[in-house]
Amino acid sequence: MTRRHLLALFAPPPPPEGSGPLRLRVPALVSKGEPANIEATVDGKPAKVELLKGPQDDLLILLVLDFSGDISYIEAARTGLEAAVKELPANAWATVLRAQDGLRVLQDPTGQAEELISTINTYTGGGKAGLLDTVEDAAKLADRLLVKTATRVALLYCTDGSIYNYREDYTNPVINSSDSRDLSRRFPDQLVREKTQKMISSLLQREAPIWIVHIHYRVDAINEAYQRGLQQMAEATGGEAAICRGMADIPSAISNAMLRIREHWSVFLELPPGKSRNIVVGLNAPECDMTYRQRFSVKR
Amino acid sequence: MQKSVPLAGWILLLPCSLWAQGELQKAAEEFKAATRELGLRADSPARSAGKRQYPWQTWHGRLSYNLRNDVLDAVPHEIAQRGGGKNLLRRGQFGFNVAGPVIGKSTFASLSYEGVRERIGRNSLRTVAIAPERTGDFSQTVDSAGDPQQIFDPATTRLNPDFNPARPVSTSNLEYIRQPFPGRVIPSSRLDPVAMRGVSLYPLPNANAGPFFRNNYFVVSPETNKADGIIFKLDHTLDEKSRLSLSLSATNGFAVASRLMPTIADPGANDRTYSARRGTVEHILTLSPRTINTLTLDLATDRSDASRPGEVFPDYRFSGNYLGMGRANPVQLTAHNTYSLSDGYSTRIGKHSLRAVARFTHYQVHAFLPHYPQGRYTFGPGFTSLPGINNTGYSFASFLLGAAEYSEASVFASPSYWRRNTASLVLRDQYEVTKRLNLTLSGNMDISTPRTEKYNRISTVRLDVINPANGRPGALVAGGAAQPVRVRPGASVGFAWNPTGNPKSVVRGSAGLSFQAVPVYTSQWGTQGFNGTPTSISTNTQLAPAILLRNGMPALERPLPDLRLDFANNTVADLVEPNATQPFYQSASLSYERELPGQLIVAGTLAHSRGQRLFVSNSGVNLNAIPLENLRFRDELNNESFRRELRPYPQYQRFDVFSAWPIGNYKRDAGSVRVEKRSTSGLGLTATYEVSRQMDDYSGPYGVQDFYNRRAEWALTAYNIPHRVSLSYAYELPIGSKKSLLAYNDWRRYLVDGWSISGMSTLLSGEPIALRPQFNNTGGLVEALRVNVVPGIDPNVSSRTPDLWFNPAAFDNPENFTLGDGPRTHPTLRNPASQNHDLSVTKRFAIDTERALELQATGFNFVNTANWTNPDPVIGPASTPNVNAGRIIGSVGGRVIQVGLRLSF
Repeated sequence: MTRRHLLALFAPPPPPEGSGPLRLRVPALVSKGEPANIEATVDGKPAKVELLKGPQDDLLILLVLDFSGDISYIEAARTGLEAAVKELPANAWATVLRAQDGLRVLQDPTGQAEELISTINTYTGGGKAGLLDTVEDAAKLADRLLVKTATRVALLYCTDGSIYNYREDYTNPVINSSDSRDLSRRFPDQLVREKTQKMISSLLQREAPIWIVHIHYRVDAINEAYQRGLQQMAEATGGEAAICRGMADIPSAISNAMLRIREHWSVFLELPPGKSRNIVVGLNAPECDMTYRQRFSVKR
Repeated sequence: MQKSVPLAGWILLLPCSLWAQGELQKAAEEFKAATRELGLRADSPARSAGKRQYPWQTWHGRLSYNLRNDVLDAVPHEIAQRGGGKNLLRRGQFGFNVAGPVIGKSTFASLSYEGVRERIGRNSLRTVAIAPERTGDFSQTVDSAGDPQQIFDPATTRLNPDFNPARPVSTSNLEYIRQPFPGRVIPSSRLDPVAMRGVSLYPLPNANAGPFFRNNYFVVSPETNKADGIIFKLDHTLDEKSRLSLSLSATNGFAVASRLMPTIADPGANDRTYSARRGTVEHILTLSPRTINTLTLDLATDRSDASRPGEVFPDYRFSGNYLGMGRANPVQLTAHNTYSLSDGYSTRIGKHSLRAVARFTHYQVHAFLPHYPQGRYTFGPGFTSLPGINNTGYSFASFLLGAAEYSEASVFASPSYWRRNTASLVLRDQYEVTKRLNLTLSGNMDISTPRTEKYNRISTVRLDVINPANGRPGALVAGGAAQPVRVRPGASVGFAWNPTGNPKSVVRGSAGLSFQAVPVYTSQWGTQGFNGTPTSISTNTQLAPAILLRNGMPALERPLPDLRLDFANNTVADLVEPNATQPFYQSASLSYERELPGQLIVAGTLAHSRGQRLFVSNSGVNLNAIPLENLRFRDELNNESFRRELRPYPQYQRFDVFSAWPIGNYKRDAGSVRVEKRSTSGLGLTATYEVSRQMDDYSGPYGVQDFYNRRAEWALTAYNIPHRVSLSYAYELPIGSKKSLLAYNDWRRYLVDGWSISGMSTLLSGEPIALRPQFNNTGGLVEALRVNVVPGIDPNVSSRTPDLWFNPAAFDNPENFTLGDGPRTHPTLRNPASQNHDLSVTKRFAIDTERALELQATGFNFVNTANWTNPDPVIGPASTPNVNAGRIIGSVGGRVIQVGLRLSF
């Protein structure tokens, strides 16, 4: 792996954004091998791989805390985050934000685990869930960092939010309780699905991968749809989501998410000319098992 | 674990690391600049005027409209079977929601409105008197076997000089001799004029579902509903640690009930004007990262005014199958107010997450519910029967003679204003014993004051007070609280355990003990003396009526309030359980859940629950029941004065305990398997199968046979559904410009983008069949007589069809003055299973990233499945069998389509 450090040391800086052809950063997760000699296509046409950044390259993790529920679950999440932050290598810094009442910075980027842990431990949750209200802003921020710096950037949401605990209404509550023949709520998850589909469309315009660890699984139909929507949102960005079904699941889910973020790759592509807004990316590396984000909406 | 790096490596890594630190430092600086610019930091500058966001840029919401119209629907099976061509359904449901910040980001408001305008057809298949019967001609009337129905002239009654009292009454040993009406026609001069006025308001048959002339009246009548409601929410962040939220809701509506007959004699429900108001204020204070306090104030009020002005009619009820006239509670005014203040405190100490919730609630229930202001009259076959002989006499014939066997009226002078206070404290400790084992302990304590009345207009029979009329225990006592203050504790324990250390496998268990609070009932139960119920009882329903319609109801003998101890004598007296004994529940469950590869989750659960001293209604308990060993007196029991002396409290007919006597028991065992499949490709699927067995000693449509032997009542719960399968799914179709199939980027994307389907299917096995005998000749001792089981005959049939669902020959009507030996609900016979499948298809048109239009078509019972109605459970004697026993006469259900449009922004 030292070889990659050397290569990184002498590698050219990332091309400046805003001039020349459009570029795309494709997040990828490698389960076997190393993505050397990678070949790429965009909408089936060959695309130039400009740069490849992997686990040994710099990484900035935007950790967004969105806790508003049971403190026993929150405490388990704090324990998990503390352990995961302690394991961050020197090339990975993290910043801490909160999601209630809009995105707010709690801790600027640092590689000092103590600072991060202190911020996590002094974070006061409570109130309303904020993931759906903030994830677009957070992705926008992450994209800006991706474009303007040479680091890999990833978002990690730790949330315990119930869809019933949002300020905005996604649950379509019964308004006329005497309306016994109301069938419009027979499928109560439709507003949630509509919202998450809308957000997926929006997040497809972003490049930073999003990981979500939801620490409190809920079994009702609307929360099921919400939790499923979170998974779709995360995977649409090239990230992953874990829904913890018990407290014992929480530390390992956070640890696993941190590990996957640290190990994710970022493949810089030069977009070939074209008019298509919705593009499909293909990556191929010999002797390498790789999953990667395939769909992007780009502004040409 | 990180690998150690050799010295040479460190030399090479050092500059590399420094370079990396530089890039990360640069990223950190960029992060600060970006977050400052985006307003995400405390030190962010205020937004410039040029970047000001207007409300329409930050507010979100939706407009929606849902339409249902019978043009879109299948004709319901029950209507098609009666020759109908369509149902009536017009329904519009419309609304909006807007939500967004109102003052910076700290205050957020949301407003929702919804209105409903509906007109829907309600169908009902009933039995009414055929045309000749309305004039007293019963020459065409047949019994359940199809034989001519015998009716006898009570005016010809005389003692049989040859009667042998040592032998049972039978056709060969009659106690009374009575002549049949010649030609089975009641002379017109004998018809009661009041009854005939009722007949003029009674509908004629219009159907012939059968058997014979039963199920001969089919009506489809519109029911309308108009409702408007709003919900307003305000959420304000006071500072980093405290938040205040307000929620207000209001709904008003007017519902016009369907009519079973288009006259003032309609027995259908009342029209209803109603309103509901809710208000909640919640303050959340985060005292520290591990301590949160939540203070909540809830106010709620519901009001209902149900009546049909101008429609005042007595309540006529016919034993047997005939549709009655008039209705109970023709005027219903109720209001429920609830005021609740609660405080929840959560903190974390070491490995303990502690939560305490204290709540105080004040309930008010206001009710004006006179049951029968114009009187209730019940008509049985006895007065036109050959005394002591089954299958003689006819309730409608008794009605035409104006001879009610029981009547009562409600003289209610004032409404009741009920009050109750409850204080509760709940403590919970979630203890992380190890990383793999979490334990939850919970305890609660409720203190409830008794139900009181604002003006102390409250009363109950007390069984320890001597009645001055007969010197026996049991007298009406007015004033004061009828029950003591009750303290009820509760406790539960639960655990979650990862047996192998694998977080994808969880074993969960729980066990709990709890008491059920005594509710504040919506009624005027417990106000006798302040309100009166003049009651008339037949001295012998076969020989003399309680009252003749032409004579009207007798008035109260004494003016109200009448608080003398004997006021409720000879009535169905209100009895409040004196000790406020509370139902007690125990439950335990054990589950194992495993997350498998492919985001497949499988869970199995075993659950057991039982309840003791559950509240039962008047059909489940009768403290004034005559012990059944008195059936030996046989026909003497038809004499009310004889029967009265056999009652434990002879001064009362029975007691009204208003579904609040703690004597019922139940036990339920269930096992279930749940499979969930989540897929980021847009598929979500949950399938559940449950098998259960629930037993109790009180449920069912008919009541209890022996009130003194509850063990003998232990049987399957009447609504126990042993097998239940449900499937729900949602799927974002993998087509469209951002999906794997049909990924068009041109104009065709408008056609293929945004399709999804949702569905729900439910399959239920049938409930146990509750059989009942056609004739109950027990002198009024047994209210819910069971059938006899015929030994050696299989009740099941080889092939169940609507023509024969079970074998009625396996059962028999008990002999006169004997009990049935069959179970209250049959252990193996089940009503038909049912199924329902709903499907919704949605097409989303994205206008831009914020706005979208959704079209939705939903099919309820979209496969248009017909579910069989239940088979006829009435078993007649071998001499007069019910030819319809075990048969199913129809099916119900029909596809309903709803089309919806929603614009979200």
